[in-house]
Amino acid sequence: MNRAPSRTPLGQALLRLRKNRMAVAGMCVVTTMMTLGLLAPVLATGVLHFSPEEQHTSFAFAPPGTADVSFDHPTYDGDKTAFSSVDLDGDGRIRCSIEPVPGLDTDAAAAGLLARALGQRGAWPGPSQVPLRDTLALWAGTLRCPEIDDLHEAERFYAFLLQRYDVATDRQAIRPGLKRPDGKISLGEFPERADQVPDAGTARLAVRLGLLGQAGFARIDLDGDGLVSRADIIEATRRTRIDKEDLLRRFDRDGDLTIDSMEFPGLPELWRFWLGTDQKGRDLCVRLLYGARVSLAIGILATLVSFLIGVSYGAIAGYVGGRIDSLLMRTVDVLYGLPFMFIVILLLVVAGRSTWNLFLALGAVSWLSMARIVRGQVLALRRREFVEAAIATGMSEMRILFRHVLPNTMGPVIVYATLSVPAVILEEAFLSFLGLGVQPPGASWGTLIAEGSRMMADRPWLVLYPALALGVTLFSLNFIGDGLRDALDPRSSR
Amino acid sequence: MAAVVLRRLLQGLITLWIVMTLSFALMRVAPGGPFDRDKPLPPAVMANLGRTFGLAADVPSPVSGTLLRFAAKVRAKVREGQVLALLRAPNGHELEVRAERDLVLVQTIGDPGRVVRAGQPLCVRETSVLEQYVASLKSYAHFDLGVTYASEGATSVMRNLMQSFPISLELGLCALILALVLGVGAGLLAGLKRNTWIDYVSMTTALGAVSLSSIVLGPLLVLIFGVWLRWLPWGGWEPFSFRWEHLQVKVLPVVTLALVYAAWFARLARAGVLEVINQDFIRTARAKGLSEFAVVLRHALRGALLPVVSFLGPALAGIVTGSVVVERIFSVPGVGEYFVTAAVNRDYPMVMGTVVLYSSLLIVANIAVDIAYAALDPRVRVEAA
Repeated sequence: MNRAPSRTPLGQALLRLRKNRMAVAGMCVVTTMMTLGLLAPVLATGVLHFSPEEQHTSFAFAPPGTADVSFDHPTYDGDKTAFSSVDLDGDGRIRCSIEPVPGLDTDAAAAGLLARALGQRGAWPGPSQVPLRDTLALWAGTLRCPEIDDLHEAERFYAFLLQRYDVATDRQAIRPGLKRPDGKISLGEFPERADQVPDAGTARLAVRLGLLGQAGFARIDLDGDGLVSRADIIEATRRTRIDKEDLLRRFDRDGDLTIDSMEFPGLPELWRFWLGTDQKGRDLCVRLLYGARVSLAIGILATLVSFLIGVSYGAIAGYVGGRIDSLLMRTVDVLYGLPFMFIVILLLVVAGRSTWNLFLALGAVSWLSMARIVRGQVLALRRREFVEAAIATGMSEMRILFRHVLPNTMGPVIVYATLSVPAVILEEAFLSFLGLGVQPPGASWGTLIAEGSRMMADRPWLVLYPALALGVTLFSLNFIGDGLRDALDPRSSR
Repeated sequence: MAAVVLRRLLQGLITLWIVMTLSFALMRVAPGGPFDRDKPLPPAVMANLGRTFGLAADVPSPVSGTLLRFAAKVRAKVREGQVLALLRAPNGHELEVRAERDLVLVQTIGDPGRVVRAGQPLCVRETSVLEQYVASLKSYAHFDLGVTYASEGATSVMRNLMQSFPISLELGLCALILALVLGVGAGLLAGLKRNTWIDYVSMTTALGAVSLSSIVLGPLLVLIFGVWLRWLPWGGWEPFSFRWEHLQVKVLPVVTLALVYAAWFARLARAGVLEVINQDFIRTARAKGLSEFAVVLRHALRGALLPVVSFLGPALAGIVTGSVVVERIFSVPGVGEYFVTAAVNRDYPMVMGTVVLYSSLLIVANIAVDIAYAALDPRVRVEAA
């Protein structure tokens, strides 16, 4: 015999929900957003290679797709042939030393070291071969790697290049007084002699490292097209941006404070700012991921708070009834008349602006509708036969309320809770947008939109992506809420 | 009907009182104030500032005489009945002026030898919280919203509001009207042409707009129409006029603010039309031989408007809050901007003034909506009576 499987009401509701394509799409989007938000630290380290507070000052307002070396999570390209371009003196090793602070008090430093070692896991000192004195000096003194330090200096020269020497368009002849930068430097524009470099220190450095004239030009113009673009410079400056501490910490396997050609991991790799950077040169994509965390967490947590308050308040009002009910519900009526967003703002101004206060304030004000819904449901349910049966068996009031009445109110409550998540996210975005919500350096989508909306004309990506992320999430959550409502109450669907 | 209006007005007043009390209490609890300086201020400055913000009051001398000395020190707590100052009366007797209440001294006025007449201020004391509360309620009743901290007492809250409120009002009203026209129009059309492409397109658009808000819509509209298509300018505001160069800068903010509520109105209006369109009175109207146009205008529109009007209250609240965001995105110099800067800088009188202004606006609007609702729906009218 072929029997159709019988389904519980809940099972039927889920089935209806699954048939609602928009709701399913919404659930997929929201799940993705939540996963992305949850995995934000992992994604930032392993995929995007930037951390949310990492500031690339020379890359402020870089448009989407610009690349730079990451200094919080650097990776190396493994190209050992580049060793010679870092090993400036050609002795086959990059030597480093630790310059102790003059008059180092070893006992005090040892105590400090112990304190640090206890507080900081997995950090330097590495292998035991490093003499104690050097180890101490690393904490208290400065790490010097003459070759890498020289390269860092060279970066100053490259920074000069684009600012000072880009005066003409393409290979055009240079005329005095002409200043038509095109973001590219031709050989004609390139400084040949030290006296063409305005800063004396930079000039000496450029001479010492051979960065001037035709030879210097060839070192930067890697693709050999006779023009140095910003991308060329970024590519060429990769070797100038080696992080010596990271290099020694991760690749100095024998612990002799020297990197030889075997240990050399290659040049730092460039990583793209897929969605561009903000005014401090922070990666927008990473910040969006962390923003998803904040926005979704506040949306869900504040809804939970309002759920707890609203359900217990409404249940008590509806179940106890009488004078207490009318007192409780008149209070809700009065509170309903208040302009709530302004009260929340006042609360935040008074209690101090912090993410914690924000979430408390939002949760504390959004329970009113929940309380009304639950009360209405409880009022309708408490005269039903199953409640009378429960009373007849001698159950306690609380037990009846929580075991029998409340579970039956859950349908509309769940729908309302789902729909209040986007509402709360929106309120959070509103407050953060006004600068009253999440405080820097933390960022939610609201703060990102607020920052971006100050420069929409020149840097549209700063407002476009956060607005899209927020918009898509709100859409999806609303679709899920609508879908749930239709699924739980088939009569309401049109 | 009059009873209903009266009751609603009373309710509104109570709500307003609660708002004021709540904001007053919150502001008293909060840290910071006009005296927040790195260095302590001289007593005379403290006294003046205190008087400006209602935090200090004069203690009048009960008798005339020559001041001999003060018995209490500045910033000291003086209990009721304790000696405040010693005076020599004109008849040569030495008099003790005692405190009539517990007080904290802010400033002692004048040096020994000063001639004080009865009723003249002898010294300055801090006012109690209750006094401040009563005083602020009283001044609010007289439409005096106090002076801002930010201006050190030079600008009154009212003046700031008078400057910026007309702009916010213009923005909000334009948005409300646009939302009503757009929303009711689209909803009516969608309801009448049910299950046609008009219905689907307008309802899908509405569903989209409902889930968004001005935070998302504003930047997106600017990017599309301002940055990429270059059709409209944005940023700033122009004085009220009907010339295009003055109007064009207002288009984007008004549309941003209106769109979400237009979507809500459209959905509600459609549902309202669907509810009445199959009812007997519409059939009767058609049977009477009224033109379709007249049927729609006289009968269906009323059905469409009912749910819209009942949603006007929340919509108004949303437009008021939304305008804060829109003003910020489009740098409109309205109340919202004042409010946010005041909130961030803890300029309490300004914050409280704005909150009270917005609250009273909402309360009055809600009452008006209730009355309009009663006027539109005969059933409500009967119930209320």
